[in-house]
Amino acid sequence: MIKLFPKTPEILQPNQYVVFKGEEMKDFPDFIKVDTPYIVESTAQVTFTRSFIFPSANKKTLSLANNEDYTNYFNLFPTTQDTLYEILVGLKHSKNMLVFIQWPTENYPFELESPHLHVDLSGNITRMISPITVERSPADEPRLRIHTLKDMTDIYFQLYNNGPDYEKLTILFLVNKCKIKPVEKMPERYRVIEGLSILKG
Amino acid sequence: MASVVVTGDESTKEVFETPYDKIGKITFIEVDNQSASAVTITVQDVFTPFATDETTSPSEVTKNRKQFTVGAGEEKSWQDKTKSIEILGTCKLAFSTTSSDIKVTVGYDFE
Repeated sequence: MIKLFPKTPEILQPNQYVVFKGEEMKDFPDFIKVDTPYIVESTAQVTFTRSFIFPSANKKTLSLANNEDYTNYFNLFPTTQDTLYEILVGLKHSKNMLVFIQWPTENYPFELESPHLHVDLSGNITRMISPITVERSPADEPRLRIHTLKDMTDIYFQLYNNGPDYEKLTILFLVNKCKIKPVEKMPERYRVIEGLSILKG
Repeated sequence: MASVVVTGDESTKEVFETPYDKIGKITFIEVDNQSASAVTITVQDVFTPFATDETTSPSEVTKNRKQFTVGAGEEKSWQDKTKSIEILGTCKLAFSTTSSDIKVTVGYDFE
């Protein structure tokens, strides 16, 4: 569901297929069947931009889920079971702003296996574990891809200003709204969408 | 690129407002000071930060980004010196001396 690529990944097109891999009923909402192909029937692209000005050494965690409090929620989850959001995330402006992904809350899925080193924003070294930055996923060449489904476990962005002064970060979302439908026959080519259990190893 | 002429007849004058998803860049500043006194002009950036865990109710912030001084009867311009100025919110000019004989031309762009 969450992946950082070395270059901008191609977005899903109509008549392509996706297969969800992971633990059924746990990694995905209960209406999703794992290891079953889904055809992308149609797509529509929506762009969405958010900007933040942070004081130095300040942090804030925002949810990607839907909520009327749109200041603190990005509202990037579909509301129907047959919609998959494929979201490319690009960053602009501040080189000192760090974006950490939490999935689920308080849990950083992108860590090394060592039990001695965990993401901790209070430490100079521990806040350097897998933050997304302007260099790693620039707005004009986004490399971070996230998939969201209705009712899935909430994903969070934790923003932190690692610079000495006020910084402005702009996050550009390209949301590829895909209408998907399960099919019986496994196609030769399909895109794998990995659940949290695979992501964490 | 846009430019605007600002008259220094008040202690603070607004120059431009940076759009929500942009950063303002000042490309040049020209000052024509035909008043009887030297004037120091401060480029200010005024914005309200986002509410964070540490600052839950942020208030408006004014950051002084750069200062330029021009003597009485002088005309000066800067280009290289302004390139590093980034404006996150509203750009204002603060004048140490007010006079309608002080004219400032500001060139700016958004990134």
